[in-house]
Amino acid sequence: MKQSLLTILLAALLAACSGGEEGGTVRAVYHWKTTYNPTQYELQWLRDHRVTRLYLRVFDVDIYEEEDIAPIATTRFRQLLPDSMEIVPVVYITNEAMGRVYYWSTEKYAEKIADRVIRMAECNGFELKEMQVDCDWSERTEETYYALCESLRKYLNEKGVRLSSTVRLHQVCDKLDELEVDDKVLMLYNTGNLRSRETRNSILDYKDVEPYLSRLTAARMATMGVAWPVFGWGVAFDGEGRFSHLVTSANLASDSAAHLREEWGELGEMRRVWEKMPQASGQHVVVLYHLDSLNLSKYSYDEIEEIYNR
Amino acid sequence: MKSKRYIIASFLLVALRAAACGPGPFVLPDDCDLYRLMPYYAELREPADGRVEANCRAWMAAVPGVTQEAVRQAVYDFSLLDWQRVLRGDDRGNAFCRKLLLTRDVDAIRLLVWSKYYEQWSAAMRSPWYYGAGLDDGGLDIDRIACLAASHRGRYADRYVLLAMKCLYRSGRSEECVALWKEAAEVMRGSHLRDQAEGYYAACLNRMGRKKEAVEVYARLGDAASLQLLQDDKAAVFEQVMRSRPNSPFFPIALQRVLFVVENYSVDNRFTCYDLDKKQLQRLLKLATSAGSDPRVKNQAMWRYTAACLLDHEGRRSEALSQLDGLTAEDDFLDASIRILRIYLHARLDAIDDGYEQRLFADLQWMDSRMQQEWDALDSTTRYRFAHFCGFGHNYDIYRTIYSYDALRRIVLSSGGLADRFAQAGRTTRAIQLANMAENRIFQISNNPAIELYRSGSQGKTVYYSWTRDDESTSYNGYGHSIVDTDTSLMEYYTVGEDLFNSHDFSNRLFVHIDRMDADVLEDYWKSMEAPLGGMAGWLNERGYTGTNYWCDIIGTHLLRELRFAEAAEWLAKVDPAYQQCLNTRDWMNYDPFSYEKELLKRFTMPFTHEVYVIGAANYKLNYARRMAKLERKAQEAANPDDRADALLTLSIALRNAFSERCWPLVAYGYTSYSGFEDDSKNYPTQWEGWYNYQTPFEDPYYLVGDMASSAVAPYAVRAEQRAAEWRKQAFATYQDRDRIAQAFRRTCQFSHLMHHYADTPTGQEVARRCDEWKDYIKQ
Repeated sequence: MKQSLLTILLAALLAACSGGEEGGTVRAVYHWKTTYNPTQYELQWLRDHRVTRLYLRVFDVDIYEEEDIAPIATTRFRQLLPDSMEIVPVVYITNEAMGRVYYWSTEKYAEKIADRVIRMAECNGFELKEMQVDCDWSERTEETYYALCESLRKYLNEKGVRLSSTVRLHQVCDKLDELEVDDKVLMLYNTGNLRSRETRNSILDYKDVEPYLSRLTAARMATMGVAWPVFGWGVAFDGEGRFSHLVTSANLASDSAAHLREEWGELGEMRRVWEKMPQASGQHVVVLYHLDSLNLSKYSYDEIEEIYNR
Repeated sequence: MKSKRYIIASFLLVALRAAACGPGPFVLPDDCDLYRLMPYYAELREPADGRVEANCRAWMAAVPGVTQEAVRQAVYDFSLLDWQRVLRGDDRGNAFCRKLLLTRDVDAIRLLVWSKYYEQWSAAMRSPWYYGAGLDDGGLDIDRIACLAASHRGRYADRYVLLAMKCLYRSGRSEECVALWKEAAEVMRGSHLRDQAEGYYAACLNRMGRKKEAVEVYARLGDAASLQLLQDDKAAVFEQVMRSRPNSPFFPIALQRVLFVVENYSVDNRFTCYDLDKKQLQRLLKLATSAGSDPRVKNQAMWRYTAACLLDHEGRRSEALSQLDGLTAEDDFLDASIRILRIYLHARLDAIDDGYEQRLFADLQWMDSRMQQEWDALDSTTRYRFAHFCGFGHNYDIYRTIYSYDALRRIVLSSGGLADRFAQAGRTTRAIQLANMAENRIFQISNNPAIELYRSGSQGKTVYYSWTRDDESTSYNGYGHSIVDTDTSLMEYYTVGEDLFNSHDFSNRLFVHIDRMDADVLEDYWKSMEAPLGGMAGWLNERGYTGTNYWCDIIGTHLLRELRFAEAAEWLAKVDPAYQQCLNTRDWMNYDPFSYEKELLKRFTMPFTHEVYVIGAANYKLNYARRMAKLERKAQEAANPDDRADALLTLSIALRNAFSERCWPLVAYGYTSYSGFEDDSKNYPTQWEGWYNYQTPFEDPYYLVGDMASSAVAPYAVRAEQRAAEWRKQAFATYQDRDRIAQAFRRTCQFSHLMHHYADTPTGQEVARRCDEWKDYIKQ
């Protein structure tokens, strides 16, 4: 009896310590706006779903004055960040900017990026345990991006900060195993050809993911979190079937495009993908993209729970 | 005719593709600045209005018994770190600091620590990477400084107010800054810092949208530099300030801006942030001319120099020269600028003769010493950067650093500059000597080790050298060389990789000049190097690049262009065989010039695939020259007419090959073939498939010159094509033996003609039996 009580207490203690890590899942969400000013709905949503980690885009790095690169679109903070959540700042680096970085200058830029993120953490009062970089790197920029990550990781690790990187499906290959980061997050959205009239759903379509499934081996997935889409938009085409523009979910009804393809991250497609993917074991990160009440309100509580619990 | 079109079309195709590809950054001599009232980037610093001296004097009055040098060092040269140490009792070996510590002048020490903090913060803030917060300094905070400084009313109150206003302005707290100015009016009255503080007040007014009030303040202060940015009529700014403050300390900055815009942007260019139309310039010229002799104006030299620049810009060079007549300036930089502009104007106006050469020699000697002087004055980071550049586009990284170097390039190498004018006057040797100095002297002054290594062509060779740096500058890597710092010592090394080449000497303007010159001209230059005529020749040669391999290779190549094969062989024999590895054309020296092109085309699907790199290419040019010379002799002297005909046919084939895409490195150099580009092509299989522009000649700088027709090799190509056609015609007219004629037709892939007229010969019979060649025959 004593032993049973001890076991229950221990289990309860472990559960308490793990915070929002339910069944080994770290529940997370991306914040991908230039102003941090969550609505009441969003704050309540975070609480309701016991989200413990916020991947917060803090700035982009893009081309600056032709020859250099610099941060742009720095996130402004209109509210205090919640103490209850781990904040992981995310820096989005455009591939064009990556193309301007010389291999030998990656160390310099790594320090600039990291220092700025550290400064932002200090100024906005969150503890920095992890930083994430996001880049749609291509074969041309891969070497430089890898070097940048290597430098960033070394620099951050010395300060007790981990580095993670997003990974797009097309970036998953043997070379990916050489990417020197502490964690990776696989983005399972924007998988299709947005501009094609033929595409059914560019946000997530099992057909688009299928060719890559063989690359998502158990070993590889064991080191990667997964990000799922909980957003939608409209893809507008002109009268001749050419891509015209994107329409936010709020303006879907009012847009006057000749053809409008409404797309959402569909749960059915997610189910089809994760049924074929190796099951994650141990602690793993599930991130939803992204924290926006207009989009999130399209998903029921249970649907969100199903994604987090998958 | 068809062949001629083919060659010219090939050149154009190549050139256009090259243009599409584009080179690395490269600053043309025409783009180098000439009009400088002050050193580069000095306009970003505070105006030289005597405020530094006045401030030092004020400190000396407040802290008696110290020298001005000690005050200047402590107040202006010391860093935040130094002052933080002073705060802890370390006088840093400075008498002023010692006095402050001895007298326990806490107000002064705290003020200077805060001021240094502000300076560092302000500098960091200008970086796009800055994120709005203080520095890592253990407790200091700009808001706190602003608050405390604003309320300080003890000793140095005026200094504290100024500091507070700076902090508020930089923090974007304009309303508070304006309020402080009004509140502290009594404190600032009579202070030597009053005008500076009022300047910040005006800046805040402007930021708050009270532009009219700001303009009034600036006008009262004579701040032409700020007014310039607020008012559309730039000339009116100068006229207005001249009336009230003829010696405004802001004039140099404001005038330099005008000169920069005039020189670097076309007038009436609405895309610049600083519009200047012709009428405004006329008014400015008038004002500058009158100010140059206005007794109220102390710095007349500055105005006369400005007037001369504006006159030169209008093409009124004689008048510009008159403005500079007898003009000197107290300021060393302006004095040098005046002399440089004078040299430039003489270089454009004077007749090129012996008298001018002598005057020019004296000017060049002065410019040379000036370059050395400017080099000596550079900080260690800049020197480090200078000493590490090498390769194509190198000057982009270093221009606007040493004014006299940029000016020399402009004077000598720009369009219509001395190199052009001396060449046009028939003084071609001197033209080359001048161009050589203008382009290469800087390497000697900066003692750049990379360029020498590249010139030596020692691949894989590593050169260690010591370099002392006292800063943490990032290792600078120019185009095409590796630099690695060792951890323990300040030894560094260069390694020339196998995929690298000497890209500098085949991409600069000297090379553009000599690439358009005949071989005889270059031979004369070579003779001048061996036995210089006169002191000026020797002096110039010492300051140029006179490497035997470089010059002999170029002369030999030019002789090949001119079809002077025997002479070419003599020159090319002087070139070290290893030197071929320095050339950026070396990777394309693999095609056999003596075989008929169709043989290769037939054998391989594309002429530029790796499969055709089959021919050993050592001594590529020399072997070609020797064999062509031998063939020429044979074509003349062989007893058997068929042997003579064979030689003529081979000469014809080899000559066409040399001027075609296949063997062009025999007669030309590439310019932008930097390594790495080839690897890039792998990443763009669709976009780049079939592209081979990186293999081809006639790229930049011809691209930059913008005149494809002036491509150095094109005229020779036309001549060579004519000669090749003649040789070919002559060959077929010389053959006597029918089977030898049949062989010649077969060799030149004219199967149709061969089978129609020489099917009965043993060669015709053989072709008929060979189904693959027969297929060709049928197709034709």
